[in-house]
Amino acid sequence: MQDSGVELLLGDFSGNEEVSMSEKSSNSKLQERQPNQPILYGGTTIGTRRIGGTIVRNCTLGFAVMKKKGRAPFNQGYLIAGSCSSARLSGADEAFVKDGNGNEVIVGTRVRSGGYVPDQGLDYNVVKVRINY
Amino acid sequence: MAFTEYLIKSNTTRFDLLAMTISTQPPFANLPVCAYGGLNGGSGSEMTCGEILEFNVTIQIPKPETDGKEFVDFVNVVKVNMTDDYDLGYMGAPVYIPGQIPFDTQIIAHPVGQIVETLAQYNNEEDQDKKI
Repeated sequence: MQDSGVELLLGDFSGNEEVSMSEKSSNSKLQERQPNQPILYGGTTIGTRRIGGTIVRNCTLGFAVMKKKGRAPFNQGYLIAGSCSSARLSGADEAFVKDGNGNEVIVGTRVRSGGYVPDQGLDYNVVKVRINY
Repeated sequence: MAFTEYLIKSNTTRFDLLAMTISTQPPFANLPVCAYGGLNGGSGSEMTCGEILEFNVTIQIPKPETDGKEFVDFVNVVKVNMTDDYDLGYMGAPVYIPGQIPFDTQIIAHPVGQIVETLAQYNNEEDQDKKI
C-alpha cells in the first residue's frame, strides 16, 4: 500500500470533514444528515458496477483510507477487494448503497489507487467517497 | 496476552486500567477471527466468525480479464474456516480478532486483514466448503 500512497485511517469519518478543535464556529460547517441516508463504515455492504454498465458486484467496504499525496489525492475512501471492481486498474466504477426505501444511492467511485500484485498477496482497490455524501 | 490488571498512581488520582484480552502475539492457527459485512449487498451487515486454519497459503484464483480461463497463483493468504454461514458479499470485508473487555459482555475488535477470496459458498448444502 505504500506504493499506492494510500494510508489507513483509524476510526470512521463518513459524513463530515474533520473540524479543528480550535475552530469555535465549527457548527457552521456541519450539515444534518438526511433521513434514510445510509451511513458508511468498514463493513457496509455496497454494490459496484462499471459506470454506464449493468453488471453489479456485491461486496463489503474494508478499512477506511485516505491519500494525502501523489496523483488524485482524497480524504475519504475505503479499501475494497480487487475482485469488487469491473477491472483491476483501468476503467471506472461507481459504488452505491441502498437507502431505507431500497433506492440506490451513489456514494463514490472506484479510483486507480489499488494494487494487484498476486505474488505478494495484494489485490485491493479503493472506493473514494463522494465529497458531498 | 492473558488478562492483566494495571495500576497507575498519581498524586491525586488512582486509575485501574484493565488491559484488553487480545493477544499481542502474531496470529496463530485456531485463533478465532470474525468478519463484518456481507448479506449480498442487502440493507444490513452481519458478523460471521471462524478460526484461522493456515498461514502463507498459495491459492489459485482466476486471472483478471481472462473470463476465468486462466488462473494465477495468489500467495501469502491466511486460510480461515468459517463456522457461520457467509456469502459472496463478504468480499473485501474487514477481518478482526475478537476480544472481550474484562467483566463486560462487550466485544472489541483488533483489525488484521481483508477478505480477498471465498470458496464454494454459493449454496447452503451441508457439505459446503466454508473456508475463506
